[in-house]
Amino acid sequence: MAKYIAKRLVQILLVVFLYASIVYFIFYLGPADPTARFIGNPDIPPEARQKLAEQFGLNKPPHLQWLNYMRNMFIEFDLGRSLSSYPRPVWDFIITRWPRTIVLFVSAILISYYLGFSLGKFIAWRRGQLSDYLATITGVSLWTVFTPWWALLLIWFFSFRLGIFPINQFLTPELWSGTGVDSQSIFIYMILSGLLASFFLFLAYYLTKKFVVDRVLARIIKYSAAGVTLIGLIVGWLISGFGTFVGDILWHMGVPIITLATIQFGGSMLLMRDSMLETIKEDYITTARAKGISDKQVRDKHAARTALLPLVTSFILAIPTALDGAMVIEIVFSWPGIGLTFLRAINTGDYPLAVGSYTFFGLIAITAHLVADIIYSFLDPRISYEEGAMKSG
Amino acid sequence: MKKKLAVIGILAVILIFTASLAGQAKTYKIGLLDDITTLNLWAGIGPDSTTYNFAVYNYWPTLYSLTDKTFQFVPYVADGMPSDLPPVKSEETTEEGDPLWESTVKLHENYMWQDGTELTAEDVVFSYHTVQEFSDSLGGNWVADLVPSIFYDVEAIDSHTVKFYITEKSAKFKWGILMMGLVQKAKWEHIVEEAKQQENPGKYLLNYDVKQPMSADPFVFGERQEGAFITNKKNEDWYLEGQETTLYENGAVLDKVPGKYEATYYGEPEGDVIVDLKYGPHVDEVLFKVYKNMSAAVLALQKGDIDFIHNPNGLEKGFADQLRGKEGITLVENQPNGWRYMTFNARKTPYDIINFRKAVANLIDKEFVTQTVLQGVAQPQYSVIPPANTFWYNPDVPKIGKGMERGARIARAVELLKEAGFSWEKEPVVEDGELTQAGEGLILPSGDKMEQQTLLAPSAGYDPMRATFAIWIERWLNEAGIPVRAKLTGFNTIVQEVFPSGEAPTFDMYILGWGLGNPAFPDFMYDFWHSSTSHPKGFNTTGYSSERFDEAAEKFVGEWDLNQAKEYAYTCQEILAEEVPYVVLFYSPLTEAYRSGRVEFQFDQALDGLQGGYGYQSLTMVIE
Repeated sequence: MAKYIAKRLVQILLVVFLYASIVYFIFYLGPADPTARFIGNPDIPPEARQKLAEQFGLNKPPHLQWLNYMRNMFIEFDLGRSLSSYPRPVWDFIITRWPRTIVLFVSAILISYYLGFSLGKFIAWRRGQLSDYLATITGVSLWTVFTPWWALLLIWFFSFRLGIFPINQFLTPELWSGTGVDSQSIFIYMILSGLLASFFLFLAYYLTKKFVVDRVLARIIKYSAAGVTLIGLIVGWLISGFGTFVGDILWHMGVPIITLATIQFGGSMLLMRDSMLETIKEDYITTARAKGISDKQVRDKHAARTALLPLVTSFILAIPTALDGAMVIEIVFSWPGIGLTFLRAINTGDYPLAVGSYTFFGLIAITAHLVADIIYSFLDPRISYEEGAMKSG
Repeated sequence: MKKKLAVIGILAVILIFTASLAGQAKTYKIGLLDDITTLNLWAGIGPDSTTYNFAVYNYWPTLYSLTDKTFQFVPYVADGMPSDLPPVKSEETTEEGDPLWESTVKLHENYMWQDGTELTAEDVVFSYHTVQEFSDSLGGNWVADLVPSIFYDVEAIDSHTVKFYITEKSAKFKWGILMMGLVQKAKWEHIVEEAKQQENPGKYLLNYDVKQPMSADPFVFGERQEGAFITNKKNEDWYLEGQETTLYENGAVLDKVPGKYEATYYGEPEGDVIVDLKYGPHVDEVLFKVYKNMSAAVLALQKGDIDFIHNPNGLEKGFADQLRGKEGITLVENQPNGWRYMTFNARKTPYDIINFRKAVANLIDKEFVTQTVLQGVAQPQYSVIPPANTFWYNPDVPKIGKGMERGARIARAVELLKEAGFSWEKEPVVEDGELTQAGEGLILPSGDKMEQQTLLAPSAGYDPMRATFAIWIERWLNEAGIPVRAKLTGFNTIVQEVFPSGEAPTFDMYILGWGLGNPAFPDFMYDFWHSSTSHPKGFNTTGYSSERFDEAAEKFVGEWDLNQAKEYAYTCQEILAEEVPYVVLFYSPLTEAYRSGRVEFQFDQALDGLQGGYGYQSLTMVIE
């Protein structure tokens, strides 16, 4: 496995190099001129624009600019400096904006996949019934809905009409003003506490599965672990003094998450449904039923677990692609994450920032593929990456 | 159990939330459509300049400023007008022995920075020298104000007096140099010195991480959550707090700060008053909320989350309709300080022929497009000065084609073209005022057939009004036998064609627009059309060259008497309307909205609207 991972890492490096070069030239060949925004001001003479261009290094031949960029990226790990916020480093933007995007989109993807998983297994079990048709039609309709329109409709309904969620932004300025609390720290705090909670839950489930035989006791322990984790998170946030701010960000995440989850759950639901329909044809499911095990147990314990496999892969691969689509959601919800940063970079001709953030997108996508490959080998014992040991099912 | 815990958690959050909202100060809430780019003023109004930076940066003072609403040149940090306007010839000369002109400016005493130290002549000298020294790196608006080709030096005569030396007796001294931003020497001196030690001094200065900008203006920086909000707090020690400025119909300005000074400018303050301005700040805080899209900002305004949206383009018709008639919302319409135009590449034939340009102008029915097609969303324009800039606007410029029917327009265009030696393979025919035969194959005076021409214009996605004009212009020119194809494309693509780096442009015709900067002295006429400014040396993208115009424009920018300058400006406008380097097409009134139930503006009718004054933060009162 280690050899396989090392080999893949070398491949990734090569792919990133090619990818970054292609992205670089795509943006370079585009019509955007970073000094164009000074044209609107007749008081700024063209010589001043020319000097700015020289300052940005835009007067050099394209191949020299590319060589310089690649050298900085791969040798000095420097993605350059933003032209629209010159001379702020591109890394600075990436570090600031990614946590905001991750918190929103990972939450939304988790919810939409959970919804898709639950509904998928449910409607597969009731194939051909009214609930199957209703869920499928709803899921497919929302899957194909025009995202900005749907988002604006939900903002109007939840935030303007009902007034139960705020209109856009990611925090309430009146609440944060004067507190000295930095939203960046809160986002990082949220990511860390989310990871810690996940680890605790995983540990509790793993240990329960390994050491507790009694089913009722195991269930109690699992539910208790979930409760303790939730209480621990809330208490931790309140004790730290950040609880209000975390709550405020969660409140602002309401409509974006509803939007994303309602749009995305259809895909995972249909995937789960198809996978379940294949699985329930298997002999071991018939055997389980023949043994008199309840329908719910057969569905949840025997069929759904096996059917989950393609959904897990899809989930991991959905993370980078969902981030890719972050632009639309972030614009509509004024959520200043990496998607919005990328769009602004394109509009202002700030291609170091555009190339840097898009390369980072690519890096995440490529890494997610590697992670998916590795996880797959754990989830499905039929798959192995040892040389000459690829098994078939 | 879990549900109960969740409910308790949410209740706790709401309680803390409500408690924190209690006892709020008077806050004026402005919606921005983008965040500021930096808190470093050097970068913020230099290479990283945006309209949102200007809206937030209420920190740095200037020696002189323009009055709100009437745009008259008045002292700010300066105590009275400069000793000499125009500057007088100095006994000093440049190092090369060239003559210099000088003028002296006195500063108010006890004009304080927010840290309690006084703003002195040292700060002024430091600011100008730094911009002069770093002008290549700072660029942007710094260079636009300082005008490095004219500014020579400034020296401190005493702690409250400075003397300027300039190389030309240009009016840009008054309208640019004297209105440059000032920074505090104590805060920046060591940073500038550190910068000079670096390999790239400009980069170091622009990159300097500023946490707290130093202010001597109505507001001081409060805090910023990047991408979410910025707050500015009232500057309790602002020297001009409580300033009362009365603007009179006769042009006089009465300016006083109770207990500090009283002064009058531009004649006796008598007769009708235009407006009586009382500066505060009347609010404790200005809160700028960042919305990344107009739909959300409009909903926020409607819901009461913000009081005003700062958007240089105002409200689109759909948003204005959405807000019209809503309780607590007032819509205002103002004229913009700008317009959209079509121009030619006069470096090429036939665009260098005045009659050809006039023929094209005759063919364009601005009234039809603006009133019939665009349903009055835009207004036709003929002069290069916006009608709302009443002092400089010449209402009597020739209005080519105005009021003419379609047939008459074509007939006049044919007449003009024939006069200049053009002919057709198939000449357009107009009978009884109707076009009965469209023209084909225009032959140039040289005998060559005119090739297919391209009219570049922004696509409908960027600006539907300009795209509409382009399509109609294409149709009308082709009817007259002028082979033109409208190419609707991206703004950046047009900019690349029109302003190619370091070379003369090769486009045929294009449609774009201008925002015109300082309305108090429209020297853009010189910048856009004087023959010396032909791109790449300047903004004369048309490559227009006219001795008549050059002479009038030179007199205009060199004239210090406003009334005399107005005469020259009138002449410039007439020549431009006759020789048509630009066909000024239209302007679209600026519609804006604010929460009249919560904020009160001392006036809401002004050239360039409320956004032109960035929401008039030191004048506006929160009445709730």
